[in-house]
Amino acid sequence: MSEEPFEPKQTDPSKPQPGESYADYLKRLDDAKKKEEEARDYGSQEYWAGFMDSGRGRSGDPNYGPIPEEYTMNGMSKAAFLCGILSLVTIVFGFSIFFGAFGILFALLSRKKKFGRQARIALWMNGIGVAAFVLTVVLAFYTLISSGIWDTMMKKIRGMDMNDPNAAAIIEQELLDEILNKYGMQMSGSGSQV
Amino acid sequence: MKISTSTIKQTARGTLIGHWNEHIAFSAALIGLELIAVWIVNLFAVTGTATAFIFRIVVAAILQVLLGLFAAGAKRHFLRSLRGEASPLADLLVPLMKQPDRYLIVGLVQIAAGFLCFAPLLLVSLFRFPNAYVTLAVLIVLSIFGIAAYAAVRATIAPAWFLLLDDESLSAGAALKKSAALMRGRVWDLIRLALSFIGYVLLAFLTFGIGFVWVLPYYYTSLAGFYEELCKQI
Repeated sequence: MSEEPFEPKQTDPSKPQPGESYADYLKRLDDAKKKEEEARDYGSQEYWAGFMDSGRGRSGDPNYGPIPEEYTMNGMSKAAFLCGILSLVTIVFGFSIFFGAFGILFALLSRKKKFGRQARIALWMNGIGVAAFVLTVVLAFYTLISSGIWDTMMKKIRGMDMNDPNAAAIIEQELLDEILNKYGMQMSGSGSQV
Repeated sequence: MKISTSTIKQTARGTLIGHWNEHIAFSAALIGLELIAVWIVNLFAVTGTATAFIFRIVVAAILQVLLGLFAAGAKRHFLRSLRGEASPLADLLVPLMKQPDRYLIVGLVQIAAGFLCFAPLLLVSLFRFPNAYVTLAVLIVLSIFGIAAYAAVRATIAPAWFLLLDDESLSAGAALKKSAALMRGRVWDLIRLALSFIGYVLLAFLTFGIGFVWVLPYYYTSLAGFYEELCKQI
């Protein structure tokens, strides 16, 4: 019985296989790397969601391929994000419409095909800022109309001389007086005005 | 073949991203010139006489035609940017320096067309109908007619500016004829493209007009993209 010479079977593909020349080994490694690259679906949301969450690699790393637009940031989306913050902060001052409109504009201009994550968040923040302003204006008009101040003011305006250069200032003062007369007690809050 | 608005706008955004600084310089210069023109027109305040009114309209028309030269310069910049060519700020003055008469003629045709489209409205507004509702209805109908006709004329003329920029040997008349031929069956596509900017214009107004500095490059690049698409389809 002839005994075949013992040759251990190499199962680790990253090492040279039995009977494989060094040149073939390098070529095989190279091919395997290429196949792996081709099989990797860089475009899938799942891949990039996992990739970004894991904290591996860095932006623009050639070993990891191009970063999809969803996860890229450009100057415009950064500006939109900043406007979003300013829009939310300035809701109480009444400037949210200004920053909100800017932010929405920048967010819309930041996309190529679809919105990036930062731009989408910015769009929401700016949208809330603009909506808050619109809601404030609607509520102000509703309050003026429902309280009867609107009718009173309209009657006063009709009776005024519109050629008077101080007409606008007088109307403004009268409106303020009307509001204070109607809501002065509530606005003072302390209840000391009895 | 229909020209896709979304594809053109997507290409325009792709061209602008990363190069906003240079584009903003062009639109800011153009807006600055427009504001100067408005200021000049406002110097000729209407005093109530028909002569003053007509004089003001004539001054406004002349300034618009002159501004058309700079607008053509801006169009040249955005067209070149779309083609990946470098375009310095001096491009704004190219139509003014090189055969400005061609651009002035196209500008004059555009203004004259606008005047003709709104002439019925101007004439009717001088008369008083017995019933206020009839007056209102007639004015609304004529306004809609004027806007629609002017939009169609503007759309037909729009590629003429780019044709003049592309071919220095082309005369204004030839450019207008070629433009009309190019736009046959595609006028609505360009109007649709322009209408798609209404939202951007509203947003720009909410920023007290400052937003136009960003909206103008987007609009002009889209127009250039439309022209490129037209040329491809010939």
